[in-house]
Amino acid sequence: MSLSRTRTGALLATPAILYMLVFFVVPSLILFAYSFWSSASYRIVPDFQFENYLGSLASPVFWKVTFNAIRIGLFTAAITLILSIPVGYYLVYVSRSQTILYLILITWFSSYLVRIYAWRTLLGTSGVLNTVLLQFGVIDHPVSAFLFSPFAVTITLVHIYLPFCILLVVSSLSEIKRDLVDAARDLGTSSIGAFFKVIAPNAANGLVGAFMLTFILVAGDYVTPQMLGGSSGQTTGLLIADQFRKTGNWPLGAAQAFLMFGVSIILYVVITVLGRATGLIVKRRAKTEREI
Amino acid sequence: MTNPKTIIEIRDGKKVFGNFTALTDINLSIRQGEILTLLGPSGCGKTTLMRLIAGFETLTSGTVSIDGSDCAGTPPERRPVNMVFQRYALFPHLDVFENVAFGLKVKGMSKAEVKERVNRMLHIVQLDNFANRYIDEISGGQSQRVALARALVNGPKVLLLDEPLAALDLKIRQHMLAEMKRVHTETGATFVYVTHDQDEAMILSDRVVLMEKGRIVQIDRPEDMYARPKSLFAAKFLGETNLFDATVSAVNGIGTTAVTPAGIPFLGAETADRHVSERITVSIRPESLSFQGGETAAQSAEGTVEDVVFIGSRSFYTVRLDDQSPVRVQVQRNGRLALPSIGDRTRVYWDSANIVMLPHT
Amino acid sequence: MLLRIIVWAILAFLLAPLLIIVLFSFHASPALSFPFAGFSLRWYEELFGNAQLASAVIKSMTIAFLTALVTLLLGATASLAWLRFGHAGRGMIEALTVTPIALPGLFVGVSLLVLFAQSGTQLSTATIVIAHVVIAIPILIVAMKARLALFDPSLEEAARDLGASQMQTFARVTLPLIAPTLIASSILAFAVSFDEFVVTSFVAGTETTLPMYIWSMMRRTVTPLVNAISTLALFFSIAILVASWVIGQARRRSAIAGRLEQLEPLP
Repeated sequence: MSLSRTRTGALLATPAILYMLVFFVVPSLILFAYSFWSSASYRIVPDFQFENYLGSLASPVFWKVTFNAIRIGLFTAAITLILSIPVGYYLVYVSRSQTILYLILITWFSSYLVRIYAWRTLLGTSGVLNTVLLQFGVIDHPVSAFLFSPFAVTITLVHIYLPFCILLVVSSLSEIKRDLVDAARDLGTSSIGAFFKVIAPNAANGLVGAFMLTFILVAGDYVTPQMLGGSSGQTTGLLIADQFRKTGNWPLGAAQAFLMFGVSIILYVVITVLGRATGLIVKRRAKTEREI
Repeated sequence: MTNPKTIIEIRDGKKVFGNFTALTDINLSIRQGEILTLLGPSGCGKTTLMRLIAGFETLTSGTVSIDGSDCAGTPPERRPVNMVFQRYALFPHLDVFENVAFGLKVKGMSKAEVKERVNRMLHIVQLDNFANRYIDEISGGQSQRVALARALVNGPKVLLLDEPLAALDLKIRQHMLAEMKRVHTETGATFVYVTHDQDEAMILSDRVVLMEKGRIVQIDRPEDMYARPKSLFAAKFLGETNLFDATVSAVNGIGTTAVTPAGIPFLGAETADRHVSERITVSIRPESLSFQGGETAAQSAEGTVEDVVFIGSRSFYTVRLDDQSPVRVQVQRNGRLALPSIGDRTRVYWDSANIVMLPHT
Repeated sequence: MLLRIIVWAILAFLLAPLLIIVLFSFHASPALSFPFAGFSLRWYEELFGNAQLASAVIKSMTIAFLTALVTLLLGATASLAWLRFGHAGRGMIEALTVTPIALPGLFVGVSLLVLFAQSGTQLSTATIVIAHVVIAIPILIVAMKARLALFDPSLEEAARDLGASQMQTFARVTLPLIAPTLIASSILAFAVSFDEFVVTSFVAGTETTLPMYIWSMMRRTVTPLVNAISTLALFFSIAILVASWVIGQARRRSAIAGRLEQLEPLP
């Protein structure tokens, strides 16, 4: 029975696996192959050369926008995680409030563009924030710096990715049983102490995961910086997108996409190593593997 | 119970998973109408054996026949046996009535008949008023009855029960044991009951199949298995016992004498297959030891009382014999007999009839 | 108490911009500033006369529907496979189907673009659906996984033991138990597709979906019309989410209602 069971399973898994192979794995591989090709006057020539990588790494513009993307990414991911933790903690340990959960889901599923537009409306020179501040006399003429600034980019990105990050934090905290918190409280720590001494070390892997996932999504988001950052909103994502849509140098765009990918992985390793070194991330034995 | 018919017959059964032999040398005949318990520690193969009968596993070699016909290749849904799963496996999207009706409905029975049979079965398990409850609205004990009813309503030739009481707490467990005996009497079905709990096996079964490491080590009535275990494993698994390593010193018409290294002699009533200087293990149950000698308790050894535990009407004594081996003595408390206290020197007596001599391992 | 205030402040931060959009969609004047000049439905009226918008909405609906359908079929089979696999098999399914959620839309978009270019596929509604399924499947799998982890495989064995064939077991036990979650998750797939912008912008060719239409309006000028569209899109998302939730919860109630009709006094 067990044999035919896995055989049925394999049969059932085939459509989804085939789909993802054809439309996710294969395209990624083609893109990787593209990154070694060359492009001459809008024509793409199969090739094997590292010029796309080396050229990008030697280009000051590439580094400028990449640093910008990383800065925006790290800054936004940090704020997002810091805001997610109290909400996650509240949802997991204080009140399993369905209302709050659904309010979060609503914002997550509300349109991406609508949210960008909302912040443009709020922060514009004739926008809500300026008119309110004017009326209260906090400022005497509209501040244009709200919009098209790193501040505008960050606040909008936090708004866009916070719901997703909260859900990640909730799921990583859910693995840590309430009893642990109660035990820590019983042994004399405060609730904030319980968080830092018991929850954070145990959830560290999940929290770092949430941080990194948010970072990757934010650093790769080029629409928000473009719409709200003005000249300060140039990021690698926009550079890559432009290679595909305007310049037509797809091989270069592909190489830059993989460079961006590589930078994310390096950052992940650095953060994990730093976390381990400072003792913030504790290695936990994988329970499930031992139980098999 | 005269000349009961064999309902399930397993011959030379062997089951191998990868490089792990789960079952080997399985020969078992299950009689119609009996309650047969498969007893053993976890990992002994009892659940695998039951799943073989149900059809969820197939033998690597050997045969299983149900009611005279070999059922190799017959899928579980076409076997005339039904199962009560360990955690009941009740369908959460169906209510109690629909759960019990499931088997009858997939067989295409008419609505009226389904209703009649299900209601009759719910009456037997005393759940008449719970037909429209959902599974998450009933207690553990009630779930167990639903599982029982769901299996029995199909009129199985054999009902398989996989540790059905393991998920219940002690009090309900005792009640459910009585309940299961009653349902067994009322339906007359054959029960094959898997458990690792010796008490459940003792209370419930007509016969016990004791298993260890994939083998059947003994098949007996529970009282015989308790009184006459055939192996050290059986002696230790069923109830508590005192064990002594000893060497046979004499075998004659009356019995066998064996002596421990410290010189304590045991005279056992059995004579079969023993020979002088054979190493054996002597087993005596704590209730077979006493502090009073007499005609039937003529053998004895001396020691010091180390500990006494009172459990209601009984007391458990730990006595350290002079050869330093500790023995447990269970005595019925009875005001007229003087019992020793901790630190007292005392003599422990036993009767040859209660001595079991086991192969040394 | 302090924690509660912080939590609600964060929620207010999440919700306020959306509420302001809704508020200004009813603004009588084109100005997006206070003081509020009174309520009006003029922007909505203007919207309903817009043929381009209508066709974008229809296009997005069609794509979202097809995406949800394909995702449902692939997700349902993958879920059933998941139930039948051990750790290794489950890990493989997850690795393949969940990874896209951890990648920026940009990456998924350009890699599909090169696939379509390399294979000579014309960009069309079909290519958009293909791309949307790639990003919707991870969401469905993540949602299903939580539910499937609770699925007791002995339920299927119990059904077989009671005489149900493999097909009967599937129809009477497995499917009813996973269907609500499957449908709820594929509704989420619909919502994801309906709102998708970044990936679409690479694989859409000349097609205009609703987000792409909104994008073109946003780029041109800040017009209160966008508020009205956004509000409609927002309420549509909420409606979808509510529908998904209701279906996820519906199993018990419908099942109970079905039984009540049969309820008769027992002998």
